[in-house]
Amino acid sequence: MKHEDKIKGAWKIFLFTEVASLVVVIPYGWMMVKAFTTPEGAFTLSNWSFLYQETPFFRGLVLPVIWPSVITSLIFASTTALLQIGVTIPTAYTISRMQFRGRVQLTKLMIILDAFPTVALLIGFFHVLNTIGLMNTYAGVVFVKVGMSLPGSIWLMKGFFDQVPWDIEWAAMVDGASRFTTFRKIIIAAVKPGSAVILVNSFLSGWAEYMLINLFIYSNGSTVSTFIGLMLDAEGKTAVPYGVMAAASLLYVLPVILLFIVSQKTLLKVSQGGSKQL
Amino acid sequence: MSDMMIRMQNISKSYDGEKTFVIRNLNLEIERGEFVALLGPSGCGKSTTLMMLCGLYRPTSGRIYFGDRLVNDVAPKNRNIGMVFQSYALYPNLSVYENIAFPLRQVKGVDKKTIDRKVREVAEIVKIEAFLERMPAQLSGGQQQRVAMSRALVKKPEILMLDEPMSNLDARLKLEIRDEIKKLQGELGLTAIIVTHDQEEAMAISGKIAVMEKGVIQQYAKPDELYEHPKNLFVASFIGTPPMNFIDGILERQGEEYVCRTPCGTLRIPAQSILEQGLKGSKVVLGIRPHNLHLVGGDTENCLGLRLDYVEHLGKDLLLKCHYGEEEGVRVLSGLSAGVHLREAVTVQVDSGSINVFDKESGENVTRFEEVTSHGTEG
Repeated sequence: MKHEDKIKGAWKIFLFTEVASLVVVIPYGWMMVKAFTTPEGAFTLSNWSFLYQETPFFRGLVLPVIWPSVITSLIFASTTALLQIGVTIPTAYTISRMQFRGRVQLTKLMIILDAFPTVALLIGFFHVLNTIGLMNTYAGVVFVKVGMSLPGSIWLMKGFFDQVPWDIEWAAMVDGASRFTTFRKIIIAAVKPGSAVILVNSFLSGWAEYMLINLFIYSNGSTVSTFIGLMLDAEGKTAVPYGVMAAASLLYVLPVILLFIVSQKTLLKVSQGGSKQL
Repeated sequence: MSDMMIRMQNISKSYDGEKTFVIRNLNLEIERGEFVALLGPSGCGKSTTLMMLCGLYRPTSGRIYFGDRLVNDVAPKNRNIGMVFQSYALYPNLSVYENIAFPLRQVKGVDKKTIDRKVREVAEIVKIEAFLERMPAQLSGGQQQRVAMSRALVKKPEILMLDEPMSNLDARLKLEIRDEIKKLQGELGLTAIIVTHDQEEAMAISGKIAVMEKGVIQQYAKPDELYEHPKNLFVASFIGTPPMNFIDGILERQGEEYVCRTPCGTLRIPAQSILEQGLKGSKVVLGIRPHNLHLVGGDTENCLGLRLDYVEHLGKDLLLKCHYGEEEGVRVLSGLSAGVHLREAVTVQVDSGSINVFDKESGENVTRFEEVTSHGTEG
């Protein structure tokens, strides 16, 4: 289609999209402006004081320095992502490629489990963590978090493995490679976009986790998400000026944006170039 | 059994616990250095047969021998084979060089220098030295095919397996690659097996063809024999372009000859050229190749009356599409100066001795040939 051949009435679609995206764009813009202004509207950097010192605010709240929370969040998110991918890849490969008893049932179970809301199981998790002594530990939260999202990611990854032609695996078999060598050297590379999706998504979901950490970790403000939670008091009123909250929120979304810039190339690339499929 | 490279004995294969069989009681023998084609329509079991030879599938019953060695339970890598897949199955994350080196790297104790020498050697034979550093996705279909060939050949296998290796190439490239494969096979003294649905390709490239249908080898013979003396109606209809003409007829013995009455004329066939024991009844199907029909002026011996529908130019010949009765088509090959008119009646004479007579009921060829040179075994 030539550039001139515009669809008639396309402006309606554009207008709709623009208006719809304002819903998202306006709060972000508001956040950026607020992070660098005083309540009166003058430019300031004082909202960022949590970067270098403890700051007292209203109603007895003393906001600590944010960096320990950032580090905890990073470790929590990375551990979640690595454990997630580490369990997902071999499991998904097995379900996609091997014949074993209960394979179909297991696959169906994955879909059902994926639909289960975490909230419904909170009391159960509490009992389990308490019993095995993982209450108030990050290991416990990681297990719950990864456990809840595994069915979905295994299901997704199975799809990627299903796409890898059998021919490639057979060729490697004829070439003398063991199943494991083939998996390690060829198959893993073929499902790289899938792994990237799971890695990025689970990192972001770990970075964003609020509820589980708030419930199963007793100390407050230990991650970035709960740090922002500190700024609300028991009645849900803000104990800090909006500007401080906006500054912290901006810091919170920064890694998300960075990660997307770094990984978007891999996420968009699907390389199956070595084999022509009919 | 001195120089038999491959023997398949009573091979059957079922994917669903012996409820249905894709291969039934197949027997096949391939000599060392022979180029054999497994030919048939899709779903006839030819690929399954190849997969069993490779060791990727296990036969449900029967035995496969390579030489004197029973290989039923031998892993593909220990069968000393090279394989080219229909999709080429190149490793998309490895360079061309690494693709070709891959089989060598799986063998313990092969040093880098040897690998490098062997990769470059085979790349030169297959003419892809210039592309060694590229990724498979950066190559054209023909180049990918060559990479797949060199990967199959780099370990110097005894047997080369080709699973529809040319079905993704355009017509001209097909001819080129076909010649090269044939040449390589001869130079390297390989035993080669090619799976294809293209009868022209099979006729051109292989020394012997196993025509398969419904998991059974219908005929296993040299190309010319398949063409001249197809064993049954299936083989006759599958081999040859333009395809053989089939005309229904009623056969009747009259002294020293048979008279065959067809809707478009009566043909006389010498009695000694019919195997009487093969005839189940008087209904037969006559198989006549288009080039065995000749336009003639008047009604003489062994002639058929047809009506010309249209003419196709083949370059050196004309292919006349005619019909008789309602819509029964007959193709006639003629010289360029045929001087015929569309929608007019034409008379064609049948070359004596060129008629294949098939029993209508069993579909078997009941013609007696002078030198019956049946090779191998049939399933």
